[in-house]
Amino acid sequence: MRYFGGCDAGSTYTKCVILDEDGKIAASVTMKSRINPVLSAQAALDDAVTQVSDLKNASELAYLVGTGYGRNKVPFADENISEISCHAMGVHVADPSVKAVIDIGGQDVKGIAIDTDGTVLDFAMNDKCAAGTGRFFETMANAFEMSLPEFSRLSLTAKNVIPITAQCTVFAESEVISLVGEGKPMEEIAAGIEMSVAKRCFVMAKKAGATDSVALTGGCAKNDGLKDAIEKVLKIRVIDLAIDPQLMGALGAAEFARQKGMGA
Amino acid sequence: MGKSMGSEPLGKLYNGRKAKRRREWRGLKDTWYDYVHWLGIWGTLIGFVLRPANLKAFFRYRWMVNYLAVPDFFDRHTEGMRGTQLRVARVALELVVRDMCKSMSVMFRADPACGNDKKLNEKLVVFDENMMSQIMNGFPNLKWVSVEVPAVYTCAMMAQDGVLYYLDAAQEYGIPNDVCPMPAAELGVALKGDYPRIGRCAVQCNTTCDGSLMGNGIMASCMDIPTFQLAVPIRHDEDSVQQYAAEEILNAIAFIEEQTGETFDWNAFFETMKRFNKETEQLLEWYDISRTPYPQITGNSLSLYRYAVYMAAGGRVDDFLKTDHKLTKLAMKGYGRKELMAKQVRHRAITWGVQSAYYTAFGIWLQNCWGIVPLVDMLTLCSTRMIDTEDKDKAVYDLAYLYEKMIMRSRSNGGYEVGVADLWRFCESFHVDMVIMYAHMGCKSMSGYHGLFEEEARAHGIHLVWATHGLMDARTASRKDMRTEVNRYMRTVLREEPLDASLEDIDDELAW
Repeated sequence: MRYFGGCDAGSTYTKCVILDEDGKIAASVTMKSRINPVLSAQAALDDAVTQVSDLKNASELAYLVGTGYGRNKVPFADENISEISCHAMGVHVADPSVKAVIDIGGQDVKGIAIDTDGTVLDFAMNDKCAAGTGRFFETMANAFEMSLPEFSRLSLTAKNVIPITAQCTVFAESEVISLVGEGKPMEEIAAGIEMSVAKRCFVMAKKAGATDSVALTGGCAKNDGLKDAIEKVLKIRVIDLAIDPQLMGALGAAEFARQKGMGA
Repeated sequence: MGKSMGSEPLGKLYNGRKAKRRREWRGLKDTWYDYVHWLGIWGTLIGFVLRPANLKAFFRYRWMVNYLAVPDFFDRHTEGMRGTQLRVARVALELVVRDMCKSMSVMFRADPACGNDKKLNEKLVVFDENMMSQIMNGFPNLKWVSVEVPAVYTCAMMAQDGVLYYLDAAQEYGIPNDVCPMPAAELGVALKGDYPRIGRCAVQCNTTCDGSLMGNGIMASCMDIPTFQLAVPIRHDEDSVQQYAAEEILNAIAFIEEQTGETFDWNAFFETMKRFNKETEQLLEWYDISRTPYPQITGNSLSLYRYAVYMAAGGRVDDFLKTDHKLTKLAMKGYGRKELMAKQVRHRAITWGVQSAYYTAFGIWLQNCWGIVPLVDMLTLCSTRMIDTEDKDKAVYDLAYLYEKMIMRSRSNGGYEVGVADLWRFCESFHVDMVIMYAHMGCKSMSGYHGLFEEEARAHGIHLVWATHGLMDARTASRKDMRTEVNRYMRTVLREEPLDASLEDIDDELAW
């Protein structure tokens, strides 16, 4: 059996997926990124290899594709492919019915329209500011002195929503601290934060051509409060992917590696 | 080696620093032509500096140092070019430089800090930078001059860090850094006292946005001369505003008459506008050629030249009409030979939105790297309506219409029809398959349309590629950032390989 690897060196998390010849996931790893993406990617790959009994080390992979924030800094990959292409392919592998994706990464947001073969039809990207990204949520959760899952759960308990008007992460943090200082209910502020990000996703969803449904990928896809807010704001269904949505970039990279390695 | 277009990798010209050597081997004939014209530009610049008032200006005004980059500007704007395309770029842009040198010489001669020619100063009427100059065609004894164009606008074109000092000055004063860099830089120049204090009176215009209005207020107070605010209607396609627009033109004329003691000379006006109409006819011929598979006058050779003809020269300078004819002749020759604008023309494009001042050579990179030929841009696509040159009443209405359709305001104001719907009409008429959509981060005027563009581009089957920029501030979105957006689209959506792979990722952060 031959194995194929995909390594997604993201800005906050590095992910790695190994597929077998049939396209089944043989191993997957998600770990916090270090400052050096090469070391992060290497560590994630080594970790993934230990999960496959047939593999002794990463050099035994038939083909390896790198992607992500540090995609040009994965020197041991056979090939590097853009994270947009990899996310599209990853989602296509996970659920071929999905046509539109919003990927909320650590420091960028992407809207991707997917063709029937998993290739990219169109995309839009905000990589110029942290508004509406994973970094935004981290900053807000820090302001609440909570972990991200706690923050997400808190937002779901709100009966009302306090709108957050600032889009900029820095200004939004100030606004949130002021609201907390005024004694406003924490869960309603949290719901307001989720709602403000959902509104930003509206533009991306529009650009991805989403009409009735959209899939969320990236670490923020695990935020149930955000999913709830997106469904309310965009008035479309958020599709639950059967595979961890944070792995989509790595999965797409691994699928590309499989196609290349199998000579498809 | 290097003779044919795209035969050598152009990425080697970039090394992360200011390019000291941009000479590329274009074959004997083209290299010789380019070199002789490169020397010619130096000749023009040396001739400019040899005038005592101009030399003084180099030491008086900090922004003047940017003009040392003029020869490099030409190298950037002719990169990879051969044959007709090279000649068109040289002929068009060299006239712009010569005309600008003349205009700046007038400005510095009158400037109390340089030439201090008081008599000349009394003849100068200062126009703001986005305002076209055709009203002055009826005042042959007066001179039109713009102080903001040389101090701010073209500085940012010559060097990507050309106005950063003034942007910092504005921000230190308290202006937020997300304000449009153009009025912010204008404020910075005013704060540093770096505008020539010239002119008998000034005319300003509500050109594009509230940012430009802020600039106007600053300019008016800093120049300390009587200033007229020409309020051109925003909804300029509406019939109901045309009478008001015409009255405003007459008000501006009356103001200049009152301040200078001159009388508007209709004969002089009609004569110069006949020339302006002929220039428009030439432009229409170039557009016709651009609609064929063999366009010849495109991209920045067209747009930068057109800005000078349409806004600054305005029919008063005969050299422009002569050059127009020369360009048409060159274009017809190139068309006859079926010369291409790139090694391989993969996509015909229109650029829409306001282009980045610090990366006017972006279109040339598009051609050389990806085979995307930017045929024409939004700012160039202004009015081509002929101006009446016999009937005064009709002429005033035509002139008002022209001012409503000024560059920078004709599409950013006026609503859906001119801002969005026209784009698809032009796409059809120029047979393009791609729109390069400039997204100026500090511009509020166009950002309201963005979602519409996406939706409608899809419906029209047009590839819409965004290029985000900071207009005059390369720190907010660098040249590399702009290229990265195109690279991503070309590789991810169109899955194409570059024509010249050496240009895909180049380091020009510190270049001029």
